[in-house]
Amino acid sequence: MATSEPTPPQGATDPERPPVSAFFSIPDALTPSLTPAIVHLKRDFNQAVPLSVDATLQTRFGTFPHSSFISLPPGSQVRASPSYPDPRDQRKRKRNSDDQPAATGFVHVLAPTAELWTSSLPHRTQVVYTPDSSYILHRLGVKPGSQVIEAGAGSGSFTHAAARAAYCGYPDGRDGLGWNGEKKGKVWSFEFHAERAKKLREEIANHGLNGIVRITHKDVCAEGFLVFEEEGETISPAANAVFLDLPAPWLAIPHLTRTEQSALDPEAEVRICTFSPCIEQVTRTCATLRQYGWVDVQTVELSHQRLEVRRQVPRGYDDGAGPRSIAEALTRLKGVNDFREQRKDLQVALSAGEEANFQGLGFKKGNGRKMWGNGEEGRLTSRQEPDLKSHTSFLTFAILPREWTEEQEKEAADKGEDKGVVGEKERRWKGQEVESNRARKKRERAEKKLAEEGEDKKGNGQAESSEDAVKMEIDG
Amino acid sequence: MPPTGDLILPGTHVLLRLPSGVPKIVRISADTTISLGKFGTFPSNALLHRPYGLTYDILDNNAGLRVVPAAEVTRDILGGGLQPEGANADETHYDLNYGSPSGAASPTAEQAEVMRTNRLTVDTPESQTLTWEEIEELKKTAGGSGKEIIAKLLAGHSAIDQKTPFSLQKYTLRKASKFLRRFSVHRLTVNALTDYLPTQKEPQKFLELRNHHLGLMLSLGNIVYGGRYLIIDETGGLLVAAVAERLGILYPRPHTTSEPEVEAEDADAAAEPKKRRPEPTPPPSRNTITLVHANEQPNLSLLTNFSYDANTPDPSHPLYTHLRTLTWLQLLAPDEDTSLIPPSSSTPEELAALKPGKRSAYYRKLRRWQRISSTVEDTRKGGYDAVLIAAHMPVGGILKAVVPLVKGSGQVVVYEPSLEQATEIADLYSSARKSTWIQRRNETEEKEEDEGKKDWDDEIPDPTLLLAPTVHRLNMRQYQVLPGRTHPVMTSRGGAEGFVVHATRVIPVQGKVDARGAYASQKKKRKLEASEAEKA
Ligand SMILES: C[S@@+](CC[C@H](N)C(=O)[O-])C[C@H]1O[C@@H](n2cnc3c(N)ncnc32)[C@H](O)[C@@H]1O
Repeated sequence: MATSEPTPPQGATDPERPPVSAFFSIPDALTPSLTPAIVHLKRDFNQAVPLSVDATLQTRFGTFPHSSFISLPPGSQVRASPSYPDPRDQRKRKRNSDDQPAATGFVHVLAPTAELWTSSLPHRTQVVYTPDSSYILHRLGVKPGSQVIEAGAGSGSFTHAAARAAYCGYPDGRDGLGWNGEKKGKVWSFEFHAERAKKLREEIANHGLNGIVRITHKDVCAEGFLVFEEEGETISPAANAVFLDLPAPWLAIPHLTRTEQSALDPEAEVRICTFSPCIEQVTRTCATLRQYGWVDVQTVELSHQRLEVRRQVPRGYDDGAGPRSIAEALTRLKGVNDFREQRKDLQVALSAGEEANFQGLGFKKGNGRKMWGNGEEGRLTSRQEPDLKSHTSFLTFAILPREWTEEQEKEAADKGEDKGVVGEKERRWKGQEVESNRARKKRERAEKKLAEEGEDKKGNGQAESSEDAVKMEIDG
Repeated sequence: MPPTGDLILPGTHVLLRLPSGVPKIVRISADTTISLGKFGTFPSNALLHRPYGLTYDILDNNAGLRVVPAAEVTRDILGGGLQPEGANADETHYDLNYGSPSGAASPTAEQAEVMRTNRLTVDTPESQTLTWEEIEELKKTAGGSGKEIIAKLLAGHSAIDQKTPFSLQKYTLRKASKFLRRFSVHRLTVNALTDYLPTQKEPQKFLELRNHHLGLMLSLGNIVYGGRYLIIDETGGLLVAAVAERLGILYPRPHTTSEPEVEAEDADAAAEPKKRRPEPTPPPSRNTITLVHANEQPNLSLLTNFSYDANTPDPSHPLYTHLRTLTWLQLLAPDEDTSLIPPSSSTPEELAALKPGKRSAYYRKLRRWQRISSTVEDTRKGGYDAVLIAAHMPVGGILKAVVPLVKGSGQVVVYEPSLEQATEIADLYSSARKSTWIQRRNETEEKEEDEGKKDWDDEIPDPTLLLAPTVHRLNMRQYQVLPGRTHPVMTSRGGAEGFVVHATRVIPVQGKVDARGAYASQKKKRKLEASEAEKA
């Protein structure tokens, strides 16, 4: 049975129900919006452009009226407007005026994503880049419905990636995506720098992320992670994932405990990641995490490179370069030899007043211009691209288990026993039977092996230790 | 009130980590005994309805479990308690002199202690005064979840007072990992499963995918709740699991919750007059995964860890409706697939005349056909938000088939174990190939009206459909962070490095690209194409 395509939520213009963010759903067509489209000029050169009907984008690839983007499907390649002179053309024409007319410039216009935003956002701070943020979100297990604490928000790079991962519909239901009455995923973002908090709040609103991201202007090290409502009420993020990108995360950790007024989800384990460039920060963070009951403390570092892939096409002597192979080098060396000999002969002949014949070299210097070919010639090679980001950081992860009281333990134990009153013994006995069967086989195998080994090793009298046996290690 | 929330429920697979760091996946069902080999056994009921993340000592004689408080866990890991890390942390940090205000002060008594090395420590098998037999005997008789053995071993170590605090700590730790009958219980997430697999399976089986690769694929793939994703997964379901986790459809919903998720467009459909029996609710059209597979049946064996058995799927599992599968034959040559021939239609009278068994067989067949043909139709329509690929076979042909099914601005992400495979993909989309392609297209555009049957031997995709193909290399290094003993952990398992290739699907300008002044007609042309695509 065919399902009808859902009507694009972006079409909605109802002010009560603003459209779903283009960050969450690729729209069918580009529309004028405060949520930017991303104009891809060339590799690593993306520009975030909120489209409006009468604006124009000037680039080094030409001029693009926004109207030439609007109503196109995202991903479209767009040619520069011919009604404006192409600056690149002019430069080129001046340089070599007899050259063929250069092609009109192109750009690609894309729907925004967290990654494109990271590569085009206005930097107000250091930001977390995709290789780190992707691993952090995966390892924190952020998924639809997660409640994520983030501090400090900084330039909002991580914020966007986290919002996408936690998203499972807007609280106002504008997207028609249900989550079965459960809590909508949310990013609780904290920033103590007033100007940054304000800027980020504007961006979040423009990007249609209100309701998914909440920015709070607050010093989390001093005041913790509770959020103040306007009526003076405090609400708890009830977080199950925490990301700290702060200079001193150990000062914020004491605010992430299981107390009465906790910022954490009381019914779930909480995962945390802290992001610190210096190992001294890591050491203090780990100590504080352990002190406050976090377990499974682990620190990792990611290294990331991008590789540039090229065809290496050897050009050879005739192209003004070196030899393509040893054979070619040999031919040339022989040629040079011959040339010398001939020249000697020539000189001898000339001095003797004889007629000589001179063939010269079979190698010409080429013009050195690069041959392009069809892309299938040459050898495939790769090399590391220069890294864009200026520093790496250590990622420290830990888990704070849910609080588990003796009372709860007793209730859980009762619950377990209720189930298996009838036949419980029998089933348990069966379970043990299975286990002991397996255990017996294993033991027999081990015994056999031991016996065999014993035979082998008897000669040198060495007591070979089995898996379980104690072997004393030498301390290093 | 009984405890609620995030607890271990019957039938769930959990990951147990032993002191030695060895992980073990166990399915927890009620009233059974769980054996951890030499570490002992315990009743499964001791874990049921308990939270994740706790650490337990195994009590002797299958008597159950004792919750180990976090402080005790940490103390036993650090071997010397929290104290050295606490208030006067600097005292014991002699290889890391951080935060000490007195930084380069003159040598003190503490620093003199620094100089105590294990130069004179003679630590041979003989320095343990307990004999092998005595230790074996101890293992049988000693209680206290292994703690007694460790205490006795320490006492029996003749050179113990020659040890530096660090080597003592190390010694204790090593004994702990051997004798402590302790484990922690963790939720079996995709992250945990991916860490677990290399300890068990042949790495080639799951293409040596690691968590940093999976994470990067999810981000670059722009996986977001509500999207439609096309997946080629030859890892046994690891990639499908990762995407499903990010879409919130991997874990079975607790059976107690009311109704299945209702999506708006489905609600509309439900408002229509009730359809006849076959399909009670239409399959969701959003937040879905479509898997294309090479064999008759998909290999999704790893999904059993998340209570989804692809052969006999549980209808209450979210993947039951949100995951569809089809074969390459069904996708590329549906006319040649016999499973897509509709069952011979029967009139209601004919049906009524059938025996009940035959009739229900007919309906079963009909439903199966409806399901498959709707999946095929839906997939061939394309418009996917992204395609993610982790495959053994060369990816060129796959890309040729699936990239056109991704919508403009959608993502294309490929995992490759080796550099050579990764560069091959990037090369297929090189600028030289792009210009050649455009040139050829310009030349042949007028002549050939219809490309006709695509030749699958020629696995060269249209290079103009992807923007900025990028090869990412990502490596992870682990650190041990203990007071004064922070260093990278040597964990070279060898094997493939792993690469992620990413590009964005674009819609190239039509017509002669090098011609000037084509702007006016460009939009018209694209509109035409768009409307044609809609028709198709
Ligand atoms: C490196 S930036 C974070 C960048 C961010 N993760 C991103 O991806 O764009 C650190 C931010 O933390 C903020 N910050 C530092 N200490 C803070 C505190 N105690 N409370 C709240 N914010 C704080 C700083 O103002 C700064 O903007």
